[in-house]
Amino acid sequence: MNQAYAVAAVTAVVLATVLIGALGLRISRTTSDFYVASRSVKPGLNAAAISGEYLSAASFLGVAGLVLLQGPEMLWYPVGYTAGYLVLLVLVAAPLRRSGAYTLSDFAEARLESPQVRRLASLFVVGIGWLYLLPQLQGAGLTLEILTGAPDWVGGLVVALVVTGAVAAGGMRSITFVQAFQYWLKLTALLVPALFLTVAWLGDDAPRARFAEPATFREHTVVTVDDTVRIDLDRPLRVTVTGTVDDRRHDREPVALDAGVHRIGAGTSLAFPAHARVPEKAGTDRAGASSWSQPLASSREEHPLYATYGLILATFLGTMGLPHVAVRFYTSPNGTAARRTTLVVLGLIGAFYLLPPVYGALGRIYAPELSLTGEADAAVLVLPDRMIGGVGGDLLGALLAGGAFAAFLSTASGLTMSVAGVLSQDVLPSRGVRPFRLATVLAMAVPLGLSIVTANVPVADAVGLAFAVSASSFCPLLVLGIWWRGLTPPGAVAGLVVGGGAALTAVMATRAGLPAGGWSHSLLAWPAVWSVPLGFLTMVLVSLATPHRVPSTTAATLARLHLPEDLIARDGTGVGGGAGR
Amino acid sequence: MRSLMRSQLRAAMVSLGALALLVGSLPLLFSLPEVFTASDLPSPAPFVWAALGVAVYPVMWLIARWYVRRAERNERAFGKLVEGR
Repeated sequence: MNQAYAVAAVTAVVLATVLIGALGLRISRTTSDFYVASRSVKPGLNAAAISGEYLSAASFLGVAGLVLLQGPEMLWYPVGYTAGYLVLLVLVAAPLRRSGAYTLSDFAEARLESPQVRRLASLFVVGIGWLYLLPQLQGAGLTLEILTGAPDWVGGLVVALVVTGAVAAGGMRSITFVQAFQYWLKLTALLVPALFLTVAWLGDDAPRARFAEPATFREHTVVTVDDTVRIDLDRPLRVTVTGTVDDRRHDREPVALDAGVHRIGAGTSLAFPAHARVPEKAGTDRAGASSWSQPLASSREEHPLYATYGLILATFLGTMGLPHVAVRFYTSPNGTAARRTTLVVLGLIGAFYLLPPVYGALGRIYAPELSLTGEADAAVLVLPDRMIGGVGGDLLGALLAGGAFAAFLSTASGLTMSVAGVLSQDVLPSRGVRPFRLATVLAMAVPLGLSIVTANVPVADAVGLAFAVSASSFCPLLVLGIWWRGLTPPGAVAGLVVGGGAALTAVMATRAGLPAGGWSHSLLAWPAVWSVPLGFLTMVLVSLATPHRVPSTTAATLARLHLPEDLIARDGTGVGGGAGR
Repeated sequence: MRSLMRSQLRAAMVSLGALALLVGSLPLLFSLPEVFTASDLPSPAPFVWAALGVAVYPVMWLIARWYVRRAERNERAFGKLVEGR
């Protein structure tokens, strides 16, 4: 891939972000501008901004990478990300806006009149925000490394600096323009190359991605392995090796490998003949060849149906509790606009998600070795070079690189914005524009530090973790807070701690590799199936046990959440409980 | 006030029910091999790609549009009710 084009594209995206941010700076004057753009963003602009912010690296790169690795069952990720917005729309969109709060912590305090619940909610907002920021920064590092060969921390640092600068300078209003621009950029960057790639694929007699058998190399291919891998061959294989295989050095020698497990040293190049099977990585316990055609979540799971429903619950219910998603609703002028905005968002992200699967399927055909080198997330980036080549391929690759960077920048700015909002309100001693800027630096510094010290996890996987925690903590709080009169502060605290804590512990235990396999592994790797009901149940039961703690303002608050704004304006809050049928 | 909440909750539940029925049931459907062996399809793969890759998005959008219209109608009806008191 031509580095100059890619670097130019990434630079252009970064510059455009800074410029549009600076434009916002000139009209962003008050504290209210900073936090919620003075609540005057129109549905069209706001919907593009929400979509731009929501479509992260996990959507732009991760989905295609997962489809390449594990087949169409991975399409549940984009379906879940979209359905999450539908659930958000029907259960919380308008009331959340009408609650009149800036952040999820504000909502908790307004509904429950309890500073204690507020502090706990703030803790979860910051925690989920950081969990979600981490893969954005790591993904940026990976992208820049593949494009330019820069060390993997550089990309994360670039994103961190640009985002901190843009958010600290302009706050919410400038970010709104930046993100609306980035949605259209991302859509274009994925759509145009997809059209060219499809034409190239048709011109190549439209080979089918074979889902029922292991991928094969289409032509003579040289694969260089960056990190030591163990591969599992189910039949003997002849390759030309430069480097170490099974602790023996070879220098461009043909080697016959028997069926079984082999260790390929770091930096080794393997030259595969055409039509050779792509070896499977050993140790990941991927089920056999047939698993590719199974439309259920991760094929490495022993209980795929359970894992699929774990993924569905986490994404369907987790979206509403993501801090950067929730904060966006406060920028709509009223509840009705919030609803209509969400409807436009559903259309925009649905249209976007038609594209990543195309890259995944083409990647399976044209770049199958990515599964071996552990860089499946890069499938989107390498395809134009692989399939079209020449200047055209370079230009399309550069467009995709720019789009990927837009994805990192927009999601990272939204998350930084919401985390900084909570930090400046609940942690730092004073409010206003200057503490907000300080909080922005703080909000970005922690995940940047973490991204440098922790190992890479697949982008979409890490994002799934944040969804599971959010679905088990904020989903019960929001849904019960909006629709149930009986919620009490102790109930909310208990539900947040038990539900969110259980999901977090379970996922951390899986990351640490505690249960090796079987049901206990599946249960912990996909906690949403049991941790979401656990969160709801705890919240309801503890609330029922403490009925005297129901806030006295509950009736008035619920009226404010559900009544259209124009009625309140005419009537005060006084359309009391009696106005029934 | 309770009547408004009840009607809004009902609209939300109908939408969620439609989502669960049309999208949430797909994994179960896919896990039933009989569905595919009985039909003429050589493998489930094309159906899975079509369903998860394309078809679910317009379905979800239509559910959302129905909900938005319904919720706004509920609010208008409630406004008339309050004014007519």
